Amino acid sequence: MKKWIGLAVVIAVLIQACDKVYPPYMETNNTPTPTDSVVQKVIIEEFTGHLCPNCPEGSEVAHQLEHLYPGRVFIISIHAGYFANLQSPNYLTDYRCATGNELYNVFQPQSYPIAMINRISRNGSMLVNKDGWAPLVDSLIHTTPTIKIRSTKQFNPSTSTLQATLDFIFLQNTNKKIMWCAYITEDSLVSYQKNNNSALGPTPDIPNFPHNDVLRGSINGTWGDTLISTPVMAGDTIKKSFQYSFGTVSWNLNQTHIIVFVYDLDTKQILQAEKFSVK
Amino acid sequence: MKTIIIPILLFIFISEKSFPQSEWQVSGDVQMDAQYYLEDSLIGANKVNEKILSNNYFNLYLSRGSLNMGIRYENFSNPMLGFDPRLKGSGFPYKFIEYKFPTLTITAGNFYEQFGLGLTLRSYEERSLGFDNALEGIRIQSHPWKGFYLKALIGQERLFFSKAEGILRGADFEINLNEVFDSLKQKPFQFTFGGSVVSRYQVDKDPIYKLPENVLTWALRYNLGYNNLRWNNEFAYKYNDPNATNGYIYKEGNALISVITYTRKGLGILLGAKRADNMDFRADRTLTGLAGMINYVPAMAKIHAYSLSALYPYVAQPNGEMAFQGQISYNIPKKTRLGGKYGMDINIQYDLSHAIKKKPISDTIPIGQKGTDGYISPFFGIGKERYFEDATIEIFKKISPKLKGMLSYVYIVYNSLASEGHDYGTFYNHIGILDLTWKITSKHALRFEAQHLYKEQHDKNWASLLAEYSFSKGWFFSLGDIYNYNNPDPTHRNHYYTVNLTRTFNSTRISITYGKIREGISCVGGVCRYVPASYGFSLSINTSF
Repeated sequence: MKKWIGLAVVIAVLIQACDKVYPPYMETNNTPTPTDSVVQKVIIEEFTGHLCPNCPEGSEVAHQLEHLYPGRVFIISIHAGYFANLQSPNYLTDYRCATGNELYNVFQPQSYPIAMINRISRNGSMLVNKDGWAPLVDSLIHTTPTIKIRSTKQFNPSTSTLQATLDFIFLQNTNKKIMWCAYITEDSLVSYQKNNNSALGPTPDIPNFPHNDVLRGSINGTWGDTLISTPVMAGDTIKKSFQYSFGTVSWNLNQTHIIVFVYDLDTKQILQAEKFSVK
Repeated sequence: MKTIIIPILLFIFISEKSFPQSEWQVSGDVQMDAQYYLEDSLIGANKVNEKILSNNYFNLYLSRGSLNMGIRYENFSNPMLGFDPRLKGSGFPYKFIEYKFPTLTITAGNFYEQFGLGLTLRSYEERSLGFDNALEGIRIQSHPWKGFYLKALIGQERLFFSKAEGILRGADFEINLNEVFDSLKQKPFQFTFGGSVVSRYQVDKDPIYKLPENVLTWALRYNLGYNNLRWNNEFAYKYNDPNATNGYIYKEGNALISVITYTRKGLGILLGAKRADNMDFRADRTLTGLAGMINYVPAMAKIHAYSLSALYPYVAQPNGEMAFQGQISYNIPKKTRLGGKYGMDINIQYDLSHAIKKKPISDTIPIGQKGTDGYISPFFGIGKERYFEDATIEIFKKISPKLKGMLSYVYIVYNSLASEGHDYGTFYNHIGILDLTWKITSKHALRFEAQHLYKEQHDKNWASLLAEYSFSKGWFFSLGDIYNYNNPDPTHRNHYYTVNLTRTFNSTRISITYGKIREGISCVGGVCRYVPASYGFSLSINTSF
């Protein structure tokens, strides 16, 4: 009888080991970010492509995080690799760019959608599948930033030229070698997208999918320029400025943004980021 | 290495103290699979930088008295194509110590386990898939009285060379009434029943959704028998488990397996039905593919052994499937008009797999919307989408003392999107197979296989020929080709030829193969892995001691 009691106790305990979650299923405890505080910001560099049927799900996750942490999560959609190839008759809009192709060749994503979250390396890889983005973004958001980026800009519409000045304010002493980089993204590009999730749109093709945060290129190259190579003290500010002419590109500059970020040259980890519109 | 040496020393010490009179027993096995890859752009066999890839396993078991111990070394340097690249590396992922008391067995370390049919828990190894979800923890198995069987365990699942994040807790009981009551021992009526519970704990780090940290499944089962008739049933239920495989919906899961069998001399009949809804249960809610599976929803389809009938295999759909199976095996006795001098065996099998019926939970929420209850599904509702259908008839006939044969017709409907994620549509395959074996002498035999697959879709028709010569007891030589002769694209009318030499002796098997492998999927029990096209030499060595 004792053995039966033992079994009954084991089963009773196990049956208790269950959490029933009731609607609403979404968390509601996030608070808006104060605009003047120094907070850690996070970049989701998502490898995607219009031929990738699972990518609308990835896009949805990334945008949920962007809305959850307004002004603190920036998305860069890198259209590269097989899924970004052109295909007749509907997939003839080319979202690939040299910067995206270089990132693809270096980081070699094997399955889509997949992303780098501040280029944090875990278990030897920076690539995280979409189900791992939210916990990682959440953990990074709550870390203490080491750098603040402040930007001022001026756009000359007659020459389509952007003039920007960046202040990189160090909040801690550091002896890391740090690079700075500025990527260009464009929103609201509407074209076909493969899809296999009927909850997100028609399958197998969404004819008018809004492609947002599409990586268009870089201001100062895929890997950027040196910000510091010698130790700096907390409170030090390093100034950088750039001028970029958009020339005759067909991009909608009202929907175009610059994402500036700094990263540790040794680990490649992104330490801080900022985003501003071109116009 | 300490994790290996310390348990071995402990094992030797305890066994020396506890069972000085008992003898040591040592057993084990070795498996080495390697391939030298060549490039072939025609079939899509890409360059492999390493040129040689291999999967290697070495099991060693020690026992003395009531003590058992085992370790396994694995080496994937690097994993062969088609196996998960995360297997890369080497180590001792499987090691255990087990002690058997008269009514109790305790296992510490790694172990495999299955509760019932596996709807709540099935931990097993399938090397052909690169699959191993061994548990690491503690297991207690008890047999307190006649007919009573109890199990309880706690642990984490293997995930390549580490462990999955979730912690699993489980228990199972089974009672066999015919063993419990002596008066029922000789009765034609037989009854066993049982049940199991498994719970997974995984911390919720998601900032968007409220995820259940403890997810529970339970199952009840019984097996009822009367003379030659058996009725086996298991029902399982899973509480809300939003995960990567179900698109993070909060709907509960359920599954039912019901199988009736009847057997008597010369006749076997099987009827089965299955429903599975949202029953994919993982040791980490973010895992997909073959990684981290906790349970197993049994396949309800015939396992085909011939190359063309296995070209489009059945793939289980644990998150939504209604399946039916019927099978009759009949032996036509010898010296009858149909049976002739030697008799004849006939197998007829029919399998059907469909989606489950799904309705939206409201007019404004599409089916499967993330972060909702997903959908409503009536328990007996069958969806329109057909995943798989198989109608097979096989006739086995001994023609003369030296010649026997098998003739088969197979009709397979294969949904390429549901089965492998390729949007090539549904294939309707008609396959004919002839297999003849000529026993030349007691040591020499020649086997000949001819197959043809006809279909209108995708890459259209295939043909296959194989000749296998076995000689000198333990030697096999085979030459075969599978030819996609009717591919609409003439540049893809590829031959996939293979030449193989195999030697078996004692408990050792060595096999060398040269040839080409077609891109596709390989499945065992409805669990599948992708097989890329490859070309080259392969070597396989298996031995046990």
